[in-house]
Amino acid sequence: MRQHKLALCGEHYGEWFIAQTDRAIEKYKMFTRDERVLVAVSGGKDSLSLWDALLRLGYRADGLYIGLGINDPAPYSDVSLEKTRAFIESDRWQVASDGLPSSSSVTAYTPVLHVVDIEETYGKTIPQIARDKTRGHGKPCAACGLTKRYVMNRLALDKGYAVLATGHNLDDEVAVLMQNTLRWQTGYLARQAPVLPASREGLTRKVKPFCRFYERETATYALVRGIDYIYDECPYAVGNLTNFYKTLLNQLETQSPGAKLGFYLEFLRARGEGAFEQFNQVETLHECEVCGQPTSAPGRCAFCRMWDIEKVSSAIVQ
Amino acid sequence: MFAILNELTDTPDWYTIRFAMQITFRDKKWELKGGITARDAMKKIGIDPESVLVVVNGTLVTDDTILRDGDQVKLVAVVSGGNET
Repeated sequence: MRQHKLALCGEHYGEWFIAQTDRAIEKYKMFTRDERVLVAVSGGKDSLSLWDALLRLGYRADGLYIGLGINDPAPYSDVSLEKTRAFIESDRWQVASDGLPSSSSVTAYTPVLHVVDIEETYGKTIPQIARDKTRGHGKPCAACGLTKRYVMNRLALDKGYAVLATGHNLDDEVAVLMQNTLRWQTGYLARQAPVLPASREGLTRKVKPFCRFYERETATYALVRGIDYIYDECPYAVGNLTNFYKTLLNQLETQSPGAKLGFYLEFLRARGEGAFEQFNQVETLHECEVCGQPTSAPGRCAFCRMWDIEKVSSAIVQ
Repeated sequence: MFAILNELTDTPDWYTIRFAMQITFRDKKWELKGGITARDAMKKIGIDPESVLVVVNGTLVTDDTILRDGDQVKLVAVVSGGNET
């Protein structure tokens, strides 16, 4: 790891990775050991590594997989679910009661995997609803993001989780930071952080414990731990703007090791010192007249409007 | 000059084993002469070293590992989102 001037063997790399994860959770006050954590899992390296790390650290972490129905031209969603199920049905997440990694079969906590199939729940797949509603200029990413955010928040609240954890890594964060900086999206910059607090009733606290890990570090952890993840990413993500920025930032990193980490940490420092405070306007939120979830405009929320939901029973995630 | 940037269907197995290493990344294959670091090999074939992990003969290695003739090198993409680099 040139950015850290550190070289580790596989065993010690795993220990370092776990310790760094715990350190980030504590530093940014993400959650405590008494709180139940819901991990958004996609079958990819980041989310499965996150779930694995949290369980090894002794946190009460359950998983949420959202079946998007993206199976054309390749069965991306089906394979993602298969990898996620295979991970949790294996015994690699087993931990000792003191929270330290153990090779024994003693388990302190038995994690639950929640699976929400969008087509079964709401009647259409993500590509279908995006086509019907002509959202996203030919790509279903906008419909997908809206649906995932809603389902994650809703299920976390309904099931009593204190916090929702996602596997966003440093490369994800820095790519977004670069996009927002190039456009001086000061409002977005003010809200980009490792922890998004539950600013009002109806919103779950959201955290990113991997925000300081390079993407290649989470991939390395997955390989070292033998986690079988889906290598292919969503077919709709190919060629998107975020990946373009990731490519640019990787070229920068090659020439200047540590550049990505420095960019992000200095941003967090400036943000912490209030550099963007004036742009962090508290938005007036309303309750959706159908599902009760927070929404920026009176009436039905964007999710209920997109899915043509008229009754609260239709919006609930089982 | 040792890079053969396409299918190896015309290359006999004995050639790779004795005189070159084979690198695979997704559906692409290359042959390079051994004796260079993994990082230099990636630069030769136009892959950004930051975007992949290097697995040699089934073992994850660091970028400064010297690759040898006969090595089977697999590059694992680390960039989420289907990046083509």
